[in-house]
Amino acid sequence: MSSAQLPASFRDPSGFLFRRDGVIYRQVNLVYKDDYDHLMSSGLYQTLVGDNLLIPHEEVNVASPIPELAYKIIKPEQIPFISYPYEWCFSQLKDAALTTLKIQKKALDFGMSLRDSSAYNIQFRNGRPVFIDTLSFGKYHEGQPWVAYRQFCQHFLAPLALMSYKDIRLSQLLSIHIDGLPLDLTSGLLPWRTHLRFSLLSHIHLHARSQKHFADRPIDVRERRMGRYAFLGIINSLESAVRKLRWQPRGTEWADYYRDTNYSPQAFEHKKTIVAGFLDRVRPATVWDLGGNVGIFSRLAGDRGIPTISFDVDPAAVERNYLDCIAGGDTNILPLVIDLTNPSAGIGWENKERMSLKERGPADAVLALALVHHLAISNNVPLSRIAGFLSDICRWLIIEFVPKTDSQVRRLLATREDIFPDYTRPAFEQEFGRYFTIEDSADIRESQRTLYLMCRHGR
Amino acid sequence: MNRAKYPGIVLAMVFSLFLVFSQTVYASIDVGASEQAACAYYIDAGTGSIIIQVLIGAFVGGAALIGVYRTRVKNFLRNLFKKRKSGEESE
Repeated sequence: MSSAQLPASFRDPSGFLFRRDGVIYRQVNLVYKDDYDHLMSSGLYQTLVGDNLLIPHEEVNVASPIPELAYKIIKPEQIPFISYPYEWCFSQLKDAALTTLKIQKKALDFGMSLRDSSAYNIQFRNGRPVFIDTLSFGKYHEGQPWVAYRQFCQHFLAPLALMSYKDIRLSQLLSIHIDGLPLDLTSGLLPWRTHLRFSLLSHIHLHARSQKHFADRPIDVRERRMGRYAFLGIINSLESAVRKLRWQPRGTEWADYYRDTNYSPQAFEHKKTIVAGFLDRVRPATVWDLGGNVGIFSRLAGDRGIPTISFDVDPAAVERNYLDCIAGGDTNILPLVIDLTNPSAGIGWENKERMSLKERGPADAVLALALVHHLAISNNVPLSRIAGFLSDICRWLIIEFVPKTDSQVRRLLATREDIFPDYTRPAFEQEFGRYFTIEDSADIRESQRTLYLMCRHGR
Repeated sequence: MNRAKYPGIVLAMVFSLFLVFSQTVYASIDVGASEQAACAYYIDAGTGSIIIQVLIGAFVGGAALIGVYRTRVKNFLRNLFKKRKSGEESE
């Protein structure tokens, strides 16, 4: 294996990804020649790229890391930030599933079919899902079943059903089961009433039973015949199943979903003005908004054309943020579910298949607004370690200090002993001063909070 | 609204009883071993997943087929009606 080969790309013998001079290329192996040529010459590639469903690429003349296998080297459009299904909110996973099925339907029109349906084949480009694995297409032979059916159910339908019917937090099972959720586990967790829905009864419950019944019994998929209408029926049935799954926070209406702040309207507007001023001063190339909630401050960056990742631990806030981005046509913001006290780790084979959050940084600028008190007081993280972590993931830092006298901090301390004598503004400035230069600061009107603009030492 | 759901529920139950308890269905399907070649199918499709897919496909494929023919019949009748109407107007 070439050292340049990406650790996430090794399962499919049709080709692999490699990085050279910071650019990601994909090698198309000779064994995939016929399928690749059909994809490119049948009109399928042009149709999918035209509909923004498939990442465009160009064929390039770059030396191959494994030339004896190479048919072509292609350079796909680069995705600036890779995200993973266990970081997506409900509607992002649902849109990714529907995109996969839409592509499968189009592929059938051109005599091709998806050979896999991994959720990791989808990335968010300009805020919308796009298929990134150009080598997933194989020629469709009349009568063959969909070889990726199991994978689709495990990667998409099972987690969506659990999130919809059981608990939104079960999306995190995707980080444990890298090839999608086992269907027997899903079937056991889903409430009994899901047996009354034909799509879930057949694609989850009976599917799980069938898997158990036929475990370890080999079969040649080419010998199992399934007509074109049956094939289309399966895709339509999956599409209908996914479309019918819905989720919204229990006991709330979206319109009432409230941001938990204690600002007066004037203080909130002043905070926005200060943050916007800092952003205009720094003009960062990328922004990570940590604890971005429903994305109000992320939009200050997004509206300035800055690609912005808006992280929050609350799946409901991320869902609201994503739906707002879709409704408002925001293409610069990618909302993601991340718990900063336990950010995504490197997982998969050799812990390298899926990158940790830190590996995907650093960002040019980080917004850490109304965040420090949650980390320091709710999670007992010392200020020095917060500063150290933030200096690892950004160059510029726009951060808000919330003192103990603030009503939000008082609320956090109401149910526990105050063991934080060092949580003071001078200590905050001293600890962050070890990693950052404080370029500017401003007190927010009608509040006790302060905003800082900091720059990492030796940037 | 609820009444409309009953046929679907009954259908689902009949289908599930058919699949769950009819071991003859499984027994009738040949799952003999044979080598999988080529890289075209590099993921494990799963025997149980293929079998259930073929069975569900037979069930929902009928609906897809009816849908297609319903559209064709509808289009045929619409065209026929249009032709007659235009014929009457030209007379």
